[in-house]
Amino acid sequence: MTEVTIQPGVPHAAVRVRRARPRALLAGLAIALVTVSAISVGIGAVRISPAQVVAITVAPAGISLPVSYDEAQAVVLRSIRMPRIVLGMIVGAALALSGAVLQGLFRNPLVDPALVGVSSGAALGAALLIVLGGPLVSTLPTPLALAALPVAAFVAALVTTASVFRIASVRGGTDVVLMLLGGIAVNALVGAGIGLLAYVAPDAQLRQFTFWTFGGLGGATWASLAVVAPLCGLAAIGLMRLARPLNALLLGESEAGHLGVPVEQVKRRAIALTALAVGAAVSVSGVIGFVGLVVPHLLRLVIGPDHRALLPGAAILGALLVVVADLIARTLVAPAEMPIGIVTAAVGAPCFIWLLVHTRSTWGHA
Amino acid sequence: MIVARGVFYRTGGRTLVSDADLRVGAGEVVAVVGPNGAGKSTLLRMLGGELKPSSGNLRLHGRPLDDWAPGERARARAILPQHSALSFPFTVRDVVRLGRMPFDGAGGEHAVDAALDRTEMRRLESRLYPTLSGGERQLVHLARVLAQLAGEDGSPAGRLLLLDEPVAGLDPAHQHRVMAIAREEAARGAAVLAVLHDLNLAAQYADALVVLHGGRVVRSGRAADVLTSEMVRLIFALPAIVVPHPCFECPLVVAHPHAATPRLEEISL
Repeated sequence: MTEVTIQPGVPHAAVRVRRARPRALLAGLAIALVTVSAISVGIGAVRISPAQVVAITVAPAGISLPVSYDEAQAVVLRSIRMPRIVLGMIVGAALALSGAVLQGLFRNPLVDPALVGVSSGAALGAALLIVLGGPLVSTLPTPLALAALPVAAFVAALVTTASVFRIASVRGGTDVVLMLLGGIAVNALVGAGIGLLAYVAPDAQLRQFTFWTFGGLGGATWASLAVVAPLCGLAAIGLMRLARPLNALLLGESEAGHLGVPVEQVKRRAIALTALAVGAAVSVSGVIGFVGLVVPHLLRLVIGPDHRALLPGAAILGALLVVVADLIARTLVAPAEMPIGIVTAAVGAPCFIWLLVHTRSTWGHA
Repeated sequence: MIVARGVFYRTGGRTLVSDADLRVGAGEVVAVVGPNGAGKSTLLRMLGGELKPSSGNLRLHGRPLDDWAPGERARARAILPQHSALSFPFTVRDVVRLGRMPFDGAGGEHAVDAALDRTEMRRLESRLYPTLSGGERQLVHLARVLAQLAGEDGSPAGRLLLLDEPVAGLDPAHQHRVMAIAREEAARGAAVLAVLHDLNLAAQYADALVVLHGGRVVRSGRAADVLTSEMVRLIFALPAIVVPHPCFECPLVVAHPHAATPRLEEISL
């Protein structure tokens, strides 16, 4: 027998975590977003230098800078590029923020806004309108006809999410596992509906719908922004206020209740507000994949799971990612334009695989 | 501090807790014991306000538990759960800080430090929670609960501490450390109720034992009165002899396969 010397109370090897300071990171991301947007807005068929961008932007305020530009540049910037980039920011922020909230709510880092039926619902609404709504739309005056597609997508998104929520409601509470399973079932049903519509659709409409599902910011106008921005803005304010309750919810629903969190109210708010934000965003942009899944996950690795930093961070990083993806989508195959959903998936999926492979050893089997 | 009278809990056609009476006063540690499925956790969750009794009366500080707003309740009692779903990479300190949620404002970091020190988790405060062992996680949650119980003034006086199997998964030294902390909290004015499986731990640390069986309170009182070999055999289906503790004034339960035979009973007594 060998004797082992016992040292009482041997301390653990000090494994310290190195995490970025959230405030510095948020500031850095915000600066990056402004910079990339200012550059991106000048890139395209009509070149506009950053100085010209500034000059054109401040001109309506009566400030005239010593930078020359022609009127065509000003028109392109004001009525095409700017709404497009602002829409990109809103959509990216809405998707990533909603993803971060839902991942916290379900205590599952693999949850994506699509899971509660928002995205598939929006796609069904779009398919219904594109394939069957043609005769109806042709009777409408032009502004209403343009709004018909986003409205159909938005309404269908909310109806789908509400039905997932109904399935998961038990005795005044909401069962999270039931919600995930209900989401899968409803998504399958909606998928069948979309498939059927695609099957009966003539080629032209099939192509229009397929492009819509890839997502794109080409439909951005100041008019559509005037509708989407307030909806997403209100939802975002409401979602940010859930940061502290969401932190407690990571402990479990009972434990959050022990800490005084009104759990049911928080769950209902989180679902309703994410449906509103994502529904409004995808109704104009179409489905843009992976932003809602990857952005919060990535950020959590850098600054940790505290939602007080995670939620604003996800909104900014999501906006940044979509603006960059849109820049790639409209310049890579210029003068043609690639659907942005292809870019985010092509960039997002490998990032996600890399992340899974590098974190799989820490996956909760400890 | 907390009083339960004639409390029932029924769900899905089954009665999990039946006509339970119980009271825990400030300065007291009460241990709830009983075999698996006796309704211990259900009773604890009702006392914490998480489950509503089907019938009966629950009062905290003389006020019906239903009348307390969730936030108010969170400032008056803390609950250590049996398991936690936490899997996100909070640091240990962040987890303990969550206990301060009901109290927005001052004294927070001090209470967090004190809780980390008492549970010996200070040295792990920057570790990520998912990298801890099961026992360490349990202690982190105890620290979180202590930080909550400390209130604004750093004192648990007048607050209720509910512990659901607080020593499960801990080594013997830490089991005693946790029970000693429960005693300290009581000495500082808290009312403590702990669900325990270890009868000897209950006998050594609790002022009173409540024995639950099939949802009913079948015995309650001082350990010396409650813990008898007959009770242990009948309620826990465990043949055992009960002898006086060699050091403390409490009984000591020793499981013994032949304890049920009359001769050994006679010898042991």
